[in-house]
Amino acid sequence: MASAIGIDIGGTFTDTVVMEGDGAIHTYKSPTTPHDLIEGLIANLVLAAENAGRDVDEFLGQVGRVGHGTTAATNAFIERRGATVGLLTTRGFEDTIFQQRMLGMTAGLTRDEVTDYALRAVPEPLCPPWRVLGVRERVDWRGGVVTPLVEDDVRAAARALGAEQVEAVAICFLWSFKNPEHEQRAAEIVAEELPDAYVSLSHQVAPRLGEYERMATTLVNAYLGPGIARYADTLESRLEERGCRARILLLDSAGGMMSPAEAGKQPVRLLVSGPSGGLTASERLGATLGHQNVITFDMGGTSADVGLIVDGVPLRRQETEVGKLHLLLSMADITAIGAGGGSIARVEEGGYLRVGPESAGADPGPACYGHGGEYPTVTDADLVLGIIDADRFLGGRLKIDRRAAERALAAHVARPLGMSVADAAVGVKRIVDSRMADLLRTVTLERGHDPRAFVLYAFGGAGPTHAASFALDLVDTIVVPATQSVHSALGAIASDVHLVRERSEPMRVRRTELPDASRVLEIFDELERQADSALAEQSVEPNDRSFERWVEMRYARQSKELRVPFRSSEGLYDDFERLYARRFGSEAVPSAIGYELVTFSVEARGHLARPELGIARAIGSDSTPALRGTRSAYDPLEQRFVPHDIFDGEALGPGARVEGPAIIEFPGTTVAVPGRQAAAVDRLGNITIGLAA
Amino acid sequence: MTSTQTESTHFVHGPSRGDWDELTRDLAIDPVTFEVLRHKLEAINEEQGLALKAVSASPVVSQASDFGNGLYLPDGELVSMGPEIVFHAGCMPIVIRNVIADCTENPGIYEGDMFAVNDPYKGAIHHPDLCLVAPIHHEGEQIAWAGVASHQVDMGGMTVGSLCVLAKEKQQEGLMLPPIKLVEKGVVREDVWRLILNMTRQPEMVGLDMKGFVASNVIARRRLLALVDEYGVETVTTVMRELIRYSERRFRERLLSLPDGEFRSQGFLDHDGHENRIYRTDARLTKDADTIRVDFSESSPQASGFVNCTTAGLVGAVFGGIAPLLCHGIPWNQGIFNALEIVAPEGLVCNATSPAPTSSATIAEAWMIVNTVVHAISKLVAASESMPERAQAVTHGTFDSLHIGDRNQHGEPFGTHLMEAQLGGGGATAIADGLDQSGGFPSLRPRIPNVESSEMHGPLLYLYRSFFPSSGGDGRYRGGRAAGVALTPYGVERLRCVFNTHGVESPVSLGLFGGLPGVTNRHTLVRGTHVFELMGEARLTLAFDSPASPLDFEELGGEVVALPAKTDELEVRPGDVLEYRWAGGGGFGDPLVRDPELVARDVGWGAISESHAEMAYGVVLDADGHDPRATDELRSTLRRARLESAQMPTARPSGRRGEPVTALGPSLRIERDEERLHLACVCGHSFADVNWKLGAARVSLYGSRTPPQIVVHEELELVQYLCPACGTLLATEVEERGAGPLHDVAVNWETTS
Repeated sequence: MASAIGIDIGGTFTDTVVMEGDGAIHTYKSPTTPHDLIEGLIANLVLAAENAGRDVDEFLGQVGRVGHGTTAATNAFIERRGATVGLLTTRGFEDTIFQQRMLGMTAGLTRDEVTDYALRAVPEPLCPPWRVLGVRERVDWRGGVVTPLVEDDVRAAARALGAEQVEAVAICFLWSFKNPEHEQRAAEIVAEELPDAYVSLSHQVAPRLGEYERMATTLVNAYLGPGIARYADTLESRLEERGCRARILLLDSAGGMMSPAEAGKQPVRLLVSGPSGGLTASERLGATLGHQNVITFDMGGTSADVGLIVDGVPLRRQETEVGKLHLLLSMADITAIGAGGGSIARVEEGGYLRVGPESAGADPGPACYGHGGEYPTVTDADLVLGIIDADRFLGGRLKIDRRAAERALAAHVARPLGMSVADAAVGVKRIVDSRMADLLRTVTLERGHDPRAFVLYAFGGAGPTHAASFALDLVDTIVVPATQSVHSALGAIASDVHLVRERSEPMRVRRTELPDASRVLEIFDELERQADSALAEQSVEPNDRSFERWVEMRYARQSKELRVPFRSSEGLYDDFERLYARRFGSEAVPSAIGYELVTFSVEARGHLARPELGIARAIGSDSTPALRGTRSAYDPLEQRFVPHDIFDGEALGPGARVEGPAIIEFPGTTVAVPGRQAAAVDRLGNITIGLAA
Repeated sequence: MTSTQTESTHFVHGPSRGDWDELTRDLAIDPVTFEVLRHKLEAINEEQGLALKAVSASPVVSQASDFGNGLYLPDGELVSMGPEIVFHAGCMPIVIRNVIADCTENPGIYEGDMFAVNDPYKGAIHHPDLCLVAPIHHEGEQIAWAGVASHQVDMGGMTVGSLCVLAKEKQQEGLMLPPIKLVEKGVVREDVWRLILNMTRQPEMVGLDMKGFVASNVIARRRLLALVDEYGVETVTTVMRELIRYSERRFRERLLSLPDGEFRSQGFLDHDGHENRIYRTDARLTKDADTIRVDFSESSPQASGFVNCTTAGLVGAVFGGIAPLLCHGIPWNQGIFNALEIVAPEGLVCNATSPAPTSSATIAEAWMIVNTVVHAISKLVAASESMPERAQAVTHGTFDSLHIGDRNQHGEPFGTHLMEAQLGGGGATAIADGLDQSGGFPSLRPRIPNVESSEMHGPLLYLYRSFFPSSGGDGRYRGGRAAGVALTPYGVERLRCVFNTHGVESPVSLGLFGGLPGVTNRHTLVRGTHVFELMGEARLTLAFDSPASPLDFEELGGEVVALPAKTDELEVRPGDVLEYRWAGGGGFGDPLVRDPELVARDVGWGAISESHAEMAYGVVLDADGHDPRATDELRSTLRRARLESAQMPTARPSGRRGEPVTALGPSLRIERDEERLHLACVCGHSFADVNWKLGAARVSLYGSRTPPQIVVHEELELVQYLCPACGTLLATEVEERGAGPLHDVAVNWETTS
């Protein structure tokens, strides 16, 4: 009996993980159906039912939970297929969303690109200027009313937007998180005038200091609102039609789950859910394996994503840039660079070799795909180096051409640099691996952590192929999860219901004083009440609810806050200073400056029953039966080609050990184990790589 | 045009000739290791910047990213820099060379030392820019320098914020540190630390920045030595040198793809702090094979006030104008400087001698140098076949500094420049409109604070923060719009403020190839208004379709004071309204050839008014957009009217037809006849004279002809040059009265194929 199903709709593939009651896992992959995402999802479920030899309706009727990560919000946003939206704001500040604090024109540019002014560009607006309407009202920094709300302005604006056929209205006034009355009253008037419009209020969507980001977040929420509300409804009703009585939950950008109804209210939370699944699945796996500190390394075709789990908790950030807009959105703190299997290698004028950020993508793809890709990629180099096998790529489903890879490397790297094709391939690999090492290093150090205290989880199509080449300089252990290429879908059933209730309430406090404890507790209690009822709305039983309190604070007048878990007003400064010193160094701690408490938040979890990850299917701790043979491949530590043992990964059972140099082949990825390293398969089918004893 | 500069010997940088045998030899290291280490050096720059930003409390650092950092060779040559303010790239090598010159013997330069400098005559651009450089040693031998510089909110002097409008010599401007040892063998010298903090009005902020500086250099040293441990000292230092050679080669090769010739531009700075008079920046740019020389010899003598810049500012600003236009895709380092020559005799406003005051240099003369260099380089680029699309009008020709200080509503000492003055007014390019959210050309990633942050930290109430309609320079492509704010003190009894900019009576965001300049800056103080009463009763007028001001000064009541470009400290109180608007971007090409669809879109989006669409662009709108027939008619009428009001040329057209060599902007062509290259209009009319403008029709825009919201100083004249045959607008220039047309383009016939 299936207890839980996780489905991750990505840009190219829809991945499904079915977890049986005993924890055993089955995985399915099918092409994403962009015209109707839910159709592809149902198709996957039919596939799963057929595999189980069951009638679909009966199969679905027994599922306890369906967890779902979706690209629906991302697609609508990127392709500008959201609602016709209008924006009401404080008169005098109508240009805020276009000024973007000047962040827009260089957003998304890499360091190399930022010196090219021809690349500066602003985002395509979600809402043209004539649908941004200012109304007379003004609140000051204390929340005091300077100008009362002019209701006629709101009514006239709503009518004007009605004439423009808007489907959604975002309302963002200055200082509304301090005093939401004007936004609330404006919402009532808009509801009277435009009863069918979807309305987003900034003090509800993102009650935080900083009007541009708050406005952008509210606007994106309104823009996505009508579409995602429909999507969530359709998802529920289509599953219901098929007899599914399971609890349906959606995966958000921070790796938490929410009900379809909640997703309809806060669709912006779905915007970057893509990378959060892998991090959440890793959190779950880490808890099972006893790894408190994990670096997640997800290297796919076009990019490498790195995230951190510290003390068992995935790091999140509160602000992010998506498509050149800057949002206040709690999300997985993932750092991505444009280097993956499809990254193109080329020789710069002046004779040095670069790799990426241009990518051959899936189409035409690497030269070895034979789909017209002219330029050599990282995958082509891996092929020439013997690390991946032309006949077994993607389990042999995609025939790739080693000669084509050699030709591309010869034409575009080897010949211009006067080196052999093999040396050209080695060069490509060295550059990519060294960039990955730099990335892991910066991501951990920048956040105040020492990479040596971490275990690296390598997944995605190219992650397990490259990780062991460079990562054991930084960490002692690499784990390739058993769910390698569908790791994200596992995330969709590994998480809890999660939500945040927060509010900026800036308080300046002298160094010698404590913050007003009763006021702080009042704020937290209020936020917790809100969070509690939101959990209740999502059918979380009282016993399954838990709450954490956080303060975002800084030294007075600094611009960056740190998030500090709140234990008590008395201990707050010490906790803050400890975190600050860890992040920036103890020499950076100022001695005479007071504090500013800016944002208070309550993170609420609704704990869901979590089936234990079951044991691996393959049996036998002897690796010999899995040995496919040997071939010559490049060993990055020996820096030469040496014979590698080649193993069929699916035939390696728990307890199996493999000494490097070796290559373990799976349908979705290839695990390379250089010499002087050893790999071992654990009881769940994960592969652990470390230095050979 | 060629006579004076070839004889000049006043090199402040250069001379320079490419050694092509050296430049084209193979990399002295394998190309893979080179790329691996290149990236690791950049990662060090990134960490240097992060360390400073993490600790700094100054909005100048954290919000405006007004800082710079880098790694340098032992002689000071720039190896790699952080992606922040471009100015610092040019001045840090000068700082390091002065540290070497002044400190090698006494007190000595040892492992673990760090040296502070802020004297503009020793390498800082102006004295608020504090620089800290640290030698990096390996086994007793110096292998590099690390360095960091940032603008401090106050470094003492006569005026809050340290831009000392009344100063006549540098000693009045505040603390001037020649190279001085701040960290000795790894230990901070507390006496020097206290000396610096003793001289600033903001010891807390400056103290944090200095902590950030030390952390930044410590990180750079630690990371570079880790690289040396892993790769060997020989490999690391080789890569550093090869990186410079690589950039030089790439840059010189790019220069070879551009035509040879001379390209000249002028810009005019108004007000020196004491007198409202005009200072000329004259950039005469010679592109000769693989070298660019910029000669400033014809610029004005130095000023008695604080607008001057020193050699350091000049070198930094020339780089700041050239690098973003010509060096995309090339690592920015000493290699680019190696192909530059800069000529300027001492005693000019752009190369002042001590003790001339310079505290406003970055936003005064250095800014003007960037404007002028961008303008001149764009003429060169426009004449090229390889990158004509990169030619652009001037972006945001001023940083309009409003420094507000005293105590904030929390009772803390407070002082800041309003960083939002970076906003607005990108120059239009040959292929696109200027960006509205552009501005601050030398700033790679500019950003401004939220109004809520400003009101949280400062005792201010903003009435608006908006773009202004019809404020970008008109052109075939339109300059980005100007932005502005109005605010009043709030929650305190008084504030002190200082305005400091130029471009109030001189259009400095110049257009190109006929495009108009963006609107000039404007400062207004309305004392003793009823603003709180008006806001309390929701009666405050904010009319954003007005190009002048959304406010109604009559309604506000009180006394309206139009402020000049620069003011001494003003005391303002709650209810006094400060309004100021910053420059729009320059336009590109004749507005009468702008695509009417774009004009209609501009009106729909509120970027220009309907009446402006008619007057400036000759576009008649109807319900569906524009009316093509009425537009054609109006445009013909406007062209005729231009010629009717113009002074026709005395020089006769040659009548010679030539072979087109290349385009020069949207309407001019460079043609080759039997004797020479000459310019011609796209309509076929050829300009025979050496200076094509002498063969053009000339219109002076003064009085009622002055474009709206542009103010022109009495020493200056806004002039347009038209094709006398078809009336196409070919140049809109600012000239000194009586100076005559500037000869601005002379492509070399011999060397241009």
